Amino acid sequence: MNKKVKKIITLGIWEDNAIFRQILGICSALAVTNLMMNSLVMGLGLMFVTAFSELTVSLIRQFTPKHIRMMVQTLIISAYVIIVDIFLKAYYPSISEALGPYVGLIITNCIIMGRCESFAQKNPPLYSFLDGLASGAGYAIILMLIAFVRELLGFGSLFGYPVLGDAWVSWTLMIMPPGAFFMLAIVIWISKNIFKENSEQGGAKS
Amino acid sequence: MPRQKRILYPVLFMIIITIVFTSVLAIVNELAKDRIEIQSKLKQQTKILKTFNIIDSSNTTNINEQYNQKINEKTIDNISYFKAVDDGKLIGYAFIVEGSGLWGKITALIAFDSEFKTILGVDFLSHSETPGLGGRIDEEWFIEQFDNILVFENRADNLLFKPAIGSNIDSISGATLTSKAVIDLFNQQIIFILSDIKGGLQSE
Repeated sequence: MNKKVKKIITLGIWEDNAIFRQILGICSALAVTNLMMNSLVMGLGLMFVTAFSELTVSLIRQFTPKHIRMMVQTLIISAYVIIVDIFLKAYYPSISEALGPYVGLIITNCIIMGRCESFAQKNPPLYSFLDGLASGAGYAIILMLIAFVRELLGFGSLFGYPVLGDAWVSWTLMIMPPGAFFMLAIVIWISKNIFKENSEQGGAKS
Repeated sequence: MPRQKRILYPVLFMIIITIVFTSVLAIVNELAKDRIEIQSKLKQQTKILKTFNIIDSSNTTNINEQYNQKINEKTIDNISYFKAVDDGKLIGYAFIVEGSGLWGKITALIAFDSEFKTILGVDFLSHSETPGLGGRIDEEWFIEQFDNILVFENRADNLLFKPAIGSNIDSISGATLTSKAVIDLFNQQIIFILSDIKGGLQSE
Protein backbone atom coordinates (compact mmCIF):
# COMPACT_ATOMS: atom_id res chain seq x y z
CA MET A 1 0.00 0.00 0.00
CA ASN A 2 1.08 3.49 -0.82
CA LYS A 3 2.72 5.20 2.15
CA LYS A 4 0.55 8.29 1.98
CA VAL A 5 -2.62 6.23 1.81
CA LYS A 6 -1.56 4.33 4.91
CA LYS A 7 -0.80 7.55 6.72
CA ILE A 8 -4.19 9.07 5.86
CA ILE A 9 -5.97 6.00 7.18
CA THR A 10 -4.08 5.72 10.45
CA LEU A 11 -4.37 9.46 11.06
CA GLY A 12 -8.09 9.53 10.37
CA ILE A 13 -9.02 6.47 12.38
CA TRP A 14 -6.52 6.60 15.20
CA GLU A 15 -3.89 9.30 15.69
CA ASP A 16 -6.03 12.24 14.63
CA ASN A 17 -9.38 10.64 15.42
CA ALA A 18 -12.02 13.30 15.12
CA ILE A 19 -13.71 12.54 18.41
CA PHE A 20 -11.08 11.68 20.97
CA ARG A 21 -8.12 13.55 19.49
CA GLN A 22 -9.71 16.60 17.90
CA ILE A 23 -12.87 16.69 20.05
CA LEU A 24 -14.94 17.43 16.97
CA GLY A 25 -18.44 16.23 16.15
CA ILE A 26 -19.22 15.38 19.73
CA CYS A 27 -22.70 16.91 19.68
CA SER A 28 -24.01 14.14 17.49
CA ALA A 29 -21.83 11.63 19.32
CA LEU A 30 -23.74 12.55 22.46
CA ALA A 31 -27.13 12.60 20.77
CA VAL A 32 -27.49 9.44 18.71
CA THR A 33 -25.46 6.93 20.69
CA ASN A 34 -28.28 5.47 22.77
CA LEU A 35 -28.90 2.77 20.15
CA MET A 36 -26.29 0.91 18.10
CA MET A 37 -28.40 0.89 14.94
CA ASN A 38 -28.76 4.68 15.04
CA SER A 39 -25.04 5.10 15.57
CA LEU A 40 -24.20 2.77 12.71
CA VAL A 41 -26.44 4.61 10.25
CA MET A 42 -25.21 7.97 11.51
CA GLY A 43 -21.60 6.82 11.12
CA LEU A 44 -22.17 5.54 7.60
CA GLY A 45 -24.02 8.72 6.69
CA LEU A 46 -21.15 10.82 7.96
CA MET A 47 -18.57 8.72 6.08
CA PHE A 48 -20.52 9.20 2.88
CA VAL A 49 -20.96 12.93 3.35
CA THR A 50 -17.38 13.60 4.45
CA ALA A 51 -15.87 11.53 1.65
CA PHE A 52 -17.93 13.06 -1.14
CA SER A 53 -17.76 16.60 0.22
CA GLU A 54 -13.99 16.36 0.40
CA LEU A 55 -13.88 14.90 -3.09
CA THR A 56 -15.98 17.75 -4.48
CA VAL A 57 -14.16 20.46 -2.57
CA SER A 58 -10.87 19.06 -3.78
CA LEU A 59 -12.04 18.83 -7.39
CA ILE A 60 -13.03 22.48 -7.54
CA ARG A 61 -10.34 23.81 -5.20
CA GLN A 62 -8.35 25.50 -7.97
CA PHE A 63 -11.36 27.42 -9.20
CA THR A 64 -12.80 28.41 -5.82
CA PRO A 65 -12.00 31.99 -4.80
CA LYS A 66 -10.30 31.74 -1.41
CA HIS A 67 -12.51 34.19 0.47
CA ILE A 68 -15.81 32.49 -0.39
CA ARG A 69 -14.58 28.93 0.13
CA MET A 70 -16.56 28.50 3.37
CA MET A 71 -19.83 29.29 1.60
CA VAL A 72 -18.98 26.87 -1.14
CA GLN A 73 -18.11 24.13 1.35
CA THR A 74 -21.31 24.60 3.31
CA LEU A 75 -23.31 24.38 0.11
CA ILE A 76 -21.57 21.17 -0.95
CA ILE A 77 -21.96 19.58 2.47
CA SER A 78 -25.65 20.46 2.70
CA ALA A 79 -26.31 19.00 -0.72
CA TYR A 80 -24.84 15.64 0.25
CA VAL A 81 -26.62 15.59 3.59
CA ILE A 82 -29.95 16.19 1.87
CA ILE A 83 -29.18 13.30 -0.48
CA VAL A 84 -28.55 11.03 2.53
CA ASP A 85 -31.77 12.24 4.13
CA ILE A 86 -33.83 11.57 1.00
CA PHE A 87 -32.22 8.16 0.55
CA LEU A 88 -33.07 7.10 4.10
CA LYS A 89 -36.62 8.38 3.79
CA ALA A 90 -37.18 6.49 0.55
CA TYR A 91 -35.53 3.17 1.38
CA TYR A 92 -35.21 2.90 5.15
CA PRO A 93 -38.18 4.86 6.55
CA SER A 94 -37.96 3.24 9.97
CA ILE A 95 -34.34 4.26 10.48
CA SER A 96 -35.00 7.70 9.09
CA GLU A 97 -37.72 8.05 11.67
CA ALA A 98 -35.53 6.82 14.50
CA LEU A 99 -32.77 9.29 13.68
CA GLY A 100 -35.24 12.12 13.32
CA PRO A 101 -33.58 15.49 12.97
CA TYR A 102 -30.04 14.19 13.49
CA VAL A 103 -29.55 13.28 9.84
CA GLY A 104 -30.17 16.88 8.84
CA LEU A 105 -27.83 17.99 11.58
CA ILE A 106 -24.90 16.18 9.93
CA ILE A 107 -24.54 19.51 8.09
CA THR A 108 -23.40 21.15 11.29
CA ASN A 109 -20.89 18.41 12.09
CA CYS A 110 -17.54 20.12 12.51
CA ILE A 111 -15.63 17.08 11.26
CA ILE A 112 -16.79 17.57 7.69
CA MET A 113 -16.01 21.24 7.47
CA GLY A 114 -12.78 20.71 9.38
CA ARG A 115 -11.56 18.08 6.95
CA CYS A 116 -12.70 20.04 3.89
CA GLU A 117 -10.85 23.09 5.13
CA SER A 118 -7.68 21.46 6.41
CA PHE A 119 -7.25 18.60 3.98
CA ALA A 120 -9.34 18.82 0.83
CA GLN A 121 -8.26 22.41 0.11
CA LYS A 122 -4.66 21.30 -0.27
CA ASN A 123 -4.79 17.73 -1.55
CA PRO A 124 -5.75 15.93 -4.76
CA PRO A 125 -9.27 14.47 -5.07
CA LEU A 126 -8.54 10.79 -4.48
CA TYR A 127 -6.55 11.37 -1.32
CA SER A 128 -9.26 13.73 -0.11
CA PHE A 129 -11.93 11.14 -0.73
CA LEU A 130 -9.92 8.59 1.21
CA ASP A 131 -9.29 11.05 4.02
CA GLY A 132 -13.05 11.62 4.26
CA LEU A 133 -13.67 7.90 4.51
CA ALA A 134 -10.98 7.48 7.17
CA SER A 135 -12.15 10.40 9.29
CA GLY A 136 -15.74 9.25 8.99
CA ALA A 137 -14.74 5.73 9.96
CA GLY A 138 -12.89 7.04 13.00
CA TYR A 139 -16.05 8.86 14.03
CA ALA A 140 -18.28 5.86 13.31
CA ILE A 141 -16.09 3.48 15.32
CA ILE A 142 -16.15 5.67 18.41
CA LEU A 143 -19.90 6.16 18.07
CA MET A 144 -20.44 2.41 17.88
CA LEU A 145 -18.19 1.90 20.88
CA ILE A 146 -20.12 4.38 23.01
CA ALA A 147 -23.46 3.08 21.75
CA PHE A 148 -22.40 -0.49 22.54
CA VAL A 149 -21.99 0.34 26.22
CA ARG A 150 -25.00 2.64 26.40
CA GLU A 151 -27.43 0.28 24.69
CA LEU A 152 -26.11 -2.74 26.58
CA LEU A 153 -26.48 -1.11 29.98
CA GLY A 154 -29.44 1.10 29.16
CA PHE A 155 -31.67 -1.40 27.36
CA GLY A 156 -29.93 -4.73 27.92
CA SER A 157 -29.87 -5.20 24.16
CA LEU A 158 -27.57 -4.87 21.15
CA PHE A 159 -28.95 -3.72 17.78
CA GLY A 160 -32.37 -4.20 19.36
CA TYR A 161 -31.81 -7.88 20.22
CA PRO A 162 -32.07 -8.53 23.95
CA VAL A 163 -28.83 -10.07 25.20
CA LEU A 164 -28.87 -9.56 28.94
CA GLY A 165 -32.21 -11.24 29.60
CA ASP A 166 -35.20 -10.20 31.67
CA ALA A 167 -33.36 -10.20 34.98
CA TRP A 168 -31.28 -7.24 33.84
CA VAL A 169 -32.39 -3.94 35.37
CA SER A 170 -31.80 -1.25 32.78
CA TRP A 171 -29.75 1.76 33.75
CA THR A 172 -32.02 4.54 32.58
CA LEU A 173 -29.15 6.94 33.21
CA MET A 174 -27.21 5.43 30.31
CA ILE A 175 -29.83 6.28 27.70
CA MET A 176 -30.32 9.77 29.06
CA PRO A 177 -27.94 12.58 28.06
CA PRO A 178 -25.73 12.22 31.19
CA GLY A 179 -24.90 8.66 30.13
CA ALA A 180 -23.48 10.01 26.90
CA PHE A 181 -21.35 12.56 28.73
CA PHE A 182 -19.93 9.96 31.08
CA MET A 183 -19.10 7.55 28.27
CA LEU A 184 -17.53 10.21 26.08
CA ALA A 185 -15.48 11.49 28.98
CA ILE A 186 -14.22 7.98 29.68
CA VAL A 187 -13.24 7.48 26.04
CA ILE A 188 -11.36 10.77 25.97
CA TRP A 189 -9.72 10.06 29.32
CA ILE A 190 -8.42 6.69 28.13
CA SER A 191 -7.17 8.10 24.85
CA LYS A 192 -5.49 10.95 26.67
CA ASN A 193 -3.50 8.39 28.62
CA ILE A 194 -2.62 6.39 25.54
CA PHE A 195 -1.34 9.48 23.76
CA LYS A 196 0.35 10.93 26.83
CA GLU A 197 3.85 11.34 25.46
CA ASN A 198 2.67 12.95 22.30
CA SER A 199 0.74 15.67 24.08
CA GLU A 200 3.55 16.37 26.51
CA GLN A 201 5.74 17.19 23.54
CA GLY A 202 3.18 19.77 22.63
CA GLY A 203 1.50 17.72 19.91
CA ALA A 204 -2.12 18.24 20.81
CA LYS A 205 -2.11 21.25 23.03
CA SER A 206 -4.73 23.80 22.25
CA MET B 1 -1.08 48.14 -0.73
CA PRO B 2 -3.69 45.43 -0.11
CA ARG B 3 -4.80 43.59 -3.18
CA GLN B 4 -8.27 44.44 -4.38
CA LYS B 5 -10.68 41.52 -3.98
CA ARG B 6 -12.36 40.53 -7.16
CA ILE B 7 -16.14 40.81 -6.98
CA LEU B 8 -17.56 39.54 -10.23
CA TYR B 9 -15.85 36.16 -10.38
CA PRO B 10 -16.76 35.00 -6.85
CA VAL B 11 -20.38 36.05 -7.31
CA LEU B 12 -20.64 34.27 -10.64
CA PHE B 13 -18.88 31.22 -9.22
CA MET B 14 -21.28 31.04 -6.29
CA ILE B 15 -24.32 31.46 -8.51
CA ILE B 16 -23.19 28.73 -10.88
CA ILE B 17 -22.29 26.26 -8.16
CA THR B 18 -25.58 26.93 -6.37
CA ILE B 19 -27.52 26.28 -9.56
CA VAL B 20 -25.60 23.06 -10.18
CA PHE B 21 -26.18 21.64 -6.69
CA THR B 22 -29.77 22.78 -6.47
CA SER B 23 -30.61 21.11 -9.75
CA VAL B 24 -28.90 17.89 -8.67
CA LEU B 25 -30.95 17.92 -5.47
CA ALA B 26 -34.13 18.72 -7.36
CA ILE B 27 -33.56 15.72 -9.62
CA VAL B 28 -32.80 13.40 -6.69
CA ASN B 29 -35.85 14.66 -4.88
CA GLU B 30 -38.04 14.16 -7.94
CA LEU B 31 -36.77 10.59 -8.37
CA ALA B 32 -37.39 9.70 -4.73
CA LYS B 33 -40.68 11.54 -4.30
CA ASP B 34 -42.96 8.73 -5.38
CA ARG B 35 -41.16 6.20 -3.26
CA ILE B 36 -41.30 8.38 -0.16
CA GLU B 37 -44.99 8.99 -0.81
CA ILE B 38 -45.61 5.24 -1.08
CA GLN B 39 -43.63 4.55 2.09
CA SER B 40 -45.47 7.08 4.20
CA LYS B 41 -48.84 5.98 2.83
CA LEU B 42 -48.02 2.35 3.55
CA LYS B 43 -47.03 3.26 7.07
CA GLN B 44 -50.25 5.10 7.70
CA GLN B 45 -52.35 2.30 6.21
CA THR B 46 -50.61 -0.29 8.37
CA LYS B 47 -51.23 1.79 11.45
CA ILE B 48 -54.91 2.34 10.64
CA LEU B 49 -55.46 -1.37 10.12
CA LYS B 50 -53.58 -2.06 13.33
CA THR B 51 -55.62 0.34 15.46
CA PHE B 52 -58.80 -1.40 14.28
CA ASN B 53 -57.08 -4.67 15.04
CA ILE B 54 -58.10 -6.12 11.69
CA ILE B 55 -54.64 -6.41 10.19
CA ASP B 56 -53.68 -9.74 8.73
CA SER B 57 -50.13 -9.75 10.05
CA SER B 58 -49.31 -13.09 8.45
CA ASN B 59 -49.20 -11.31 5.13
CA THR B 60 -47.57 -7.89 5.18
CA THR B 61 -47.01 -7.67 1.44
CA ASN B 62 -50.63 -6.85 0.59
CA ILE B 63 -51.26 -4.08 3.12
CA ASN B 64 -52.54 -1.84 0.36
CA GLU B 65 -55.04 -4.49 -0.77
CA GLN B 66 -56.26 -5.18 2.76
CA TYR B 67 -56.63 -1.48 3.34
CA ASN B 68 -58.69 -0.85 0.22
CA GLN B 69 -60.89 -3.79 1.07
CA LYS B 70 -61.63 -2.85 4.66
CA ILE B 71 -61.23 0.89 5.10
CA ASN B 72 -63.28 3.75 3.67
CA GLU B 73 -61.91 7.26 3.88
CA LYS B 74 -64.72 9.79 4.33
CA THR B 75 -65.32 13.29 5.66
CA ILE B 76 -68.01 14.79 7.83
CA ASP B 77 -68.18 18.50 8.70
CA ASN B 78 -64.71 18.90 7.15
CA ILE B 79 -63.31 16.29 9.51
CA SER B 80 -61.94 13.25 7.75
CA TYR B 81 -62.37 9.85 9.28
CA PHE B 82 -61.80 6.21 8.45
CA LYS B 83 -64.63 3.72 8.49
CA ALA B 84 -63.67 0.07 8.88
CA VAL B 85 -65.80 -2.78 7.54
CA ASP B 86 -64.65 -6.37 7.80
CA ASP B 87 -66.66 -9.25 6.31
CA GLY B 88 -69.63 -6.94 5.80
CA LYS B 89 -69.69 -6.01 9.46
CA LEU B 90 -69.10 -2.43 10.64
CA ILE B 91 -66.07 -2.45 12.92
CA GLY B 92 -65.79 1.20 13.85
CA TYR B 93 -64.42 4.63 13.08
CA ALA B 94 -60.94 6.11 13.35
CA PHE B 95 -59.83 9.73 13.46
CA ILE B 96 -56.55 11.53 13.05
CA VAL B 97 -56.04 13.81 16.03
CA GLU B 98 -53.38 16.42 16.70
CA GLY B 99 -52.04 18.18 19.74
CA SER B 100 -48.86 19.52 21.24
CA GLY B 101 -46.38 17.21 22.89
CA LEU B 102 -43.37 18.17 24.95
CA TRP B 103 -41.23 19.26 21.99
CA GLY B 104 -43.62 19.53 19.09
CA LYS B 105 -46.78 18.42 17.40
CA ILE B 106 -48.04 14.91 18.02
CA THR B 107 -50.25 13.38 15.35
CA ALA B 108 -52.13 10.33 16.50
CA LEU B 109 -54.80 7.91 15.39
CA ILE B 110 -57.69 6.86 17.58
CA ALA B 111 -60.24 4.20 16.67
CA PHE B 112 -63.65 3.64 18.27
CA ASP B 113 -66.09 0.78 17.92
CA SER B 114 -69.27 1.34 15.90
CA GLU B 115 -71.21 2.36 19.04
CA PHE B 116 -68.52 4.75 20.32
CA LYS B 117 -68.45 2.90 23.60
CA THR B 118 -64.85 1.70 23.64
CA ILE B 119 -61.53 2.67 22.16
CA LEU B 120 -60.38 -0.05 19.76
CA GLY B 121 -56.85 1.21 19.67
CA VAL B 122 -54.55 4.18 19.22
CA ASP B 123 -51.31 4.79 17.40
CA PHE B 124 -48.95 7.66 16.71
CA LEU B 125 -48.36 8.83 13.17
CA SER B 126 -45.71 11.42 13.94
CA HIS B 127 -44.12 13.08 16.94
CA SER B 128 -40.82 14.65 17.94
CA GLU B 129 -40.47 13.48 21.53
CA THR B 130 -37.08 12.64 23.07
CA PRO B 131 -35.77 9.38 21.58
CA GLY B 132 -35.49 6.71 24.25
CA LEU B 133 -37.72 8.60 26.71
CA GLY B 134 -40.86 10.32 25.41
CA GLY B 135 -40.21 8.62 22.09
CA ARG B 136 -41.25 5.39 23.74
CA ILE B 137 -44.90 6.30 23.19
CA ASP B 138 -44.33 4.44 19.93
CA GLU B 139 -43.67 1.21 21.78
CA GLU B 140 -46.16 -1.58 21.64
CA TRP B 141 -46.71 -1.90 25.40
CA PHE B 142 -47.71 1.73 25.71
CA ILE B 143 -50.05 1.73 22.73
CA GLU B 144 -51.67 -1.57 23.72
CA GLN B 145 -52.84 -0.10 27.02
CA PHE B 146 -55.45 1.96 25.20
CA ASP B 147 -57.18 -1.06 23.68
CA ASN B 148 -60.74 -1.70 24.84
CA ILE B 149 -61.00 1.21 27.24
CA LEU B 150 -64.60 2.29 27.86
CA VAL B 151 -65.32 5.94 27.11
CA PHE B 152 -68.10 8.22 28.29
CA GLU B 153 -69.21 11.49 26.80
CA ASN B 154 -69.69 13.20 30.14
CA ARG B 155 -66.36 12.20 31.64
CA ALA B 156 -63.42 14.59 31.24
CA ASP B 157 -60.74 12.06 32.13
CA ASN B 158 -61.60 8.92 30.24
CA LEU B 159 -57.91 8.14 30.32
CA LEU B 160 -56.19 8.41 33.68
CA PHE B 161 -52.77 7.45 34.97
CA LYS B 162 -52.32 4.67 37.45
CA PRO B 163 -52.52 4.39 40.41
CA ALA B 164 -55.49 6.82 40.74
CA ILE B 165 -58.96 5.34 41.27
CA GLY B 166 -60.53 4.34 37.97
CA SER B 167 -57.20 4.70 36.22
CA ASN B 168 -56.21 2.69 33.19
CA ILE B 169 -52.89 3.84 31.74
CA ASP B 170 -49.31 3.41 32.95
CA SER B 171 -47.27 6.51 32.22
CA ILE B 172 -43.73 6.23 30.92
CA SER B 173 -41.17 6.70 33.66
CA GLY B 174 -38.66 9.35 32.73
CA ALA B 175 -41.16 10.92 30.33
CA THR B 176 -43.77 12.42 32.61
CA LEU B 177 -44.46 15.46 30.46
CA THR B 178 -44.82 13.53 27.24
CA SER B 179 -47.13 11.01 28.90
CA LYS B 180 -49.24 13.80 30.25
CA ALA B 181 -49.37 15.59 26.90
CA VAL B 182 -50.51 12.38 25.21
CA ILE B 183 -53.26 11.69 27.73
CA ASP B 184 -54.51 15.29 27.62
CA LEU B 185 -54.56 15.18 23.85
CA PHE B 186 -56.61 12.00 23.76
CA ASN B 187 -58.97 13.05 26.56
CA GLN B 188 -59.78 16.31 24.81
CA GLN B 189 -60.28 14.67 21.44
CA ILE B 190 -62.42 11.86 22.87
CA ILE B 191 -64.86 14.36 24.35
CA PHE B 192 -64.88 16.34 21.13
CA ILE B 193 -65.50 13.28 18.97
CA LEU B 194 -68.17 11.85 21.26
CA SER B 195 -70.09 15.09 21.65
CA ASP B 196 -69.69 16.70 18.23
CA ILE B 197 -69.06 14.01 15.64
CA LYS B 198 -70.63 10.83 16.93
CA GLY B 199 -74.24 11.91 16.35
CA GLY B 200 -73.60 12.87 12.75
CA LEU B 201 -71.91 9.57 11.99
CA GLN B 202 -74.53 7.36 13.56
CA SER B 203 -77.45 9.09 11.88
CA GLU B 204 -75.77 8.64 8.50
